[in-house]
Amino acid sequence: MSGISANYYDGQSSKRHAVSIQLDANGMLSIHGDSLSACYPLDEITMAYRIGKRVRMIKLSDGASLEAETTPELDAILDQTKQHKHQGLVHRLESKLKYIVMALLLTIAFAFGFLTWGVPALAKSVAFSLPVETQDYLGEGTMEVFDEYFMQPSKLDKTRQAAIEKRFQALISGLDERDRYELLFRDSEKMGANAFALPSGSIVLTDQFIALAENEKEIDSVLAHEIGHVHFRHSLRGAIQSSSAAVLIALMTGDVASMSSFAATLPTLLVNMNYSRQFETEADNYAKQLMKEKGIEFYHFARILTRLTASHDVADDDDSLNFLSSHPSTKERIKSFQ
Amino acid sequence: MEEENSDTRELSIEFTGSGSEYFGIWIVNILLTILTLGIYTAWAKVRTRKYFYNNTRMDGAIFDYHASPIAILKGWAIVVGVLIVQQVLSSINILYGLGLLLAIMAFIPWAMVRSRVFNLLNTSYRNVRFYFEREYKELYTIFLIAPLPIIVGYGLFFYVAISAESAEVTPDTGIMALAGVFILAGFVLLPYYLHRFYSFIITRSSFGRTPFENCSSAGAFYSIYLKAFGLGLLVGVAMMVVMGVSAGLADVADGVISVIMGVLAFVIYLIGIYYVIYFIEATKLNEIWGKTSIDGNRFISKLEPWGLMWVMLSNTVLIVITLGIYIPWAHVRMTRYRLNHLLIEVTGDMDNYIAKGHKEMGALGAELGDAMDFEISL
Repeated sequence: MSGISANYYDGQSSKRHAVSIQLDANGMLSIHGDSLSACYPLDEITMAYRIGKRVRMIKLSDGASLEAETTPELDAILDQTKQHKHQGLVHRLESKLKYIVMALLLTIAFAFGFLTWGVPALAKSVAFSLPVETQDYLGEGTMEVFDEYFMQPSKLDKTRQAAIEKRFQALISGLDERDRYELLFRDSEKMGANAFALPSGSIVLTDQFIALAENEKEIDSVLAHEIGHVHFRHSLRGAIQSSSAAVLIALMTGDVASMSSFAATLPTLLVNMNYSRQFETEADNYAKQLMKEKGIEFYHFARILTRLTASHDVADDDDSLNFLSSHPSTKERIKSFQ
Repeated sequence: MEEENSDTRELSIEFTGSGSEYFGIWIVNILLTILTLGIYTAWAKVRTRKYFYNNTRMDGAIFDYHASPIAILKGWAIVVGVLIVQQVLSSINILYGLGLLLAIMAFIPWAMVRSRVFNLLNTSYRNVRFYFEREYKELYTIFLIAPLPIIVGYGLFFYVAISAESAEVTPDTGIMALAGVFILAGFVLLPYYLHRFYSFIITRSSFGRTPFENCSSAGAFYSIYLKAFGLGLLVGVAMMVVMGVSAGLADVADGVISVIMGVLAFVIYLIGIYYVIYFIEATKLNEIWGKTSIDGNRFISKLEPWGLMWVMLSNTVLIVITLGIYIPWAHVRMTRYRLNHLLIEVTGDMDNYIAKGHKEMGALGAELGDAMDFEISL
């Protein structure tokens, strides 16, 4: 007798019966052991899961069960039951190398796609639906921290400030009414020549930046770029994107470890740098549009950017580091404005 | 039932799963879950459990998991529905959202019990199902009373501090001391309630009709937490010493040595803190399992803090380096380590456990417990 050896449990007690099973000539599953002998029609096999390669657990309609090592003969018998056959598909996906590799690549593609397009799209819709008060609140909070630690009141004389403010008003006249802009002057040795925009619509210029500019049109060109950041709500979107990417990556990689926040930092950093590069490009394109409208030549931005880069001694035009650089290669940006 | 064989033997629990085999199941689960917008989670959960249970082997027999994906899917759908309602309510008025959240929290002990019943009822060994008594009172008692002194203490503290602040007077030291006593008492009582919790979880569980018994004591829990507290102090002292030496050296030696000392202090801190965490985990589980028995057959748990810590931390590092690809191997390693350190001392054979009839039940509690990460695992 060439039966498949298995353990039989009747479901009433934990008693084990060593049995031998086979498919008999009438298509019945026959079970033989020292103390029992039984026959089941195949449709009385109610559950036969197919997971992994070691064992098969077979449930019978009367509550009894069989445990057997997996053999091709056994799978051939079980394949005649509906459930086992249906699961064959998932089981094949789970156990054949080519499907596993395909599943892995598809999953990576989905994760990549979600991080590249899904998260920014979500952040965009959230940023544009947040009430004005929230944006003001976030902007004021950031400004307080900056004023406390990095910046002092501007030492620029009032007439110069008023002149720049006037040009700023001219720049924003005719722009989308829903966007609000505000120009602020600060002195900061620590930040050096710098210009940045906050969620509240505040654009900050440092005295060091004004000193670096050789003419008013250079200042205008940088203001145009910052107006672009405000218009697209970049700082808010950046904050939302980096936190949601961190949550997503922590969910994906951190479910075993208690150090999930640590586990998520490295990939999050890489993803965020990629996001901020996209924002710079977007703001640059906005600036070009605005400069064209207001009759400011592009080369002004190229010149001030060259000097800004030099003043910060940033050597980021090395293409091999391009992915890690938080701005698009400055060389590329300067070239696009010439 | 007469015992044919009265030899006592130690049965080990063997885990036969492999990381590479589980990887296939894991990645297909993730992909199908994405493609079905989450609906496949129910099947994914059953297949994962089934894989781990079917690879857990004791005395030539294997464990099995029987939950129906449809039951889990229904529970999942209800939980997702409640979460959506919660989000919508929050966006209308944050207070509505908070109110619903509080109402959900009131269900946590209920969900823990339901989750335990669902999971044990769907677990079998030698075709005999496990079982958990549906008793909710004890968990509600523990969850309501245990945090009470701490909440009262902190409430009192902040109330007095804030009202003194606004009246610009110094806070009443008597009341502040009372708040301190409440908080301290709350923390001192925690090991007692923790023991009560574990004891409840084990003694309401049964294999067929045979209940698990547990004779662990609250005293042992106090001893574990006292030792952990002592270890924590030791780590603090060691750090202080290193930092003190480094400060002393700063005058005579160059900066490099004090940097090295700084790094050393940080390493001591990191290793020390993790050691304390895994010391608590290992000794607590050893105490609970070591005092658990069924039908006179005693469990033996031999977890070691260093071993547990090594598996856990190396898993974390490998998961980070591989950007998550290592997760299946990490699961398998952890499961194997834990199961290999659990033994059962059996007298005679294990043929005489009688099954108890069971009704299928819904998975709502189990899903709620899962969604809020409250599933009890030992």
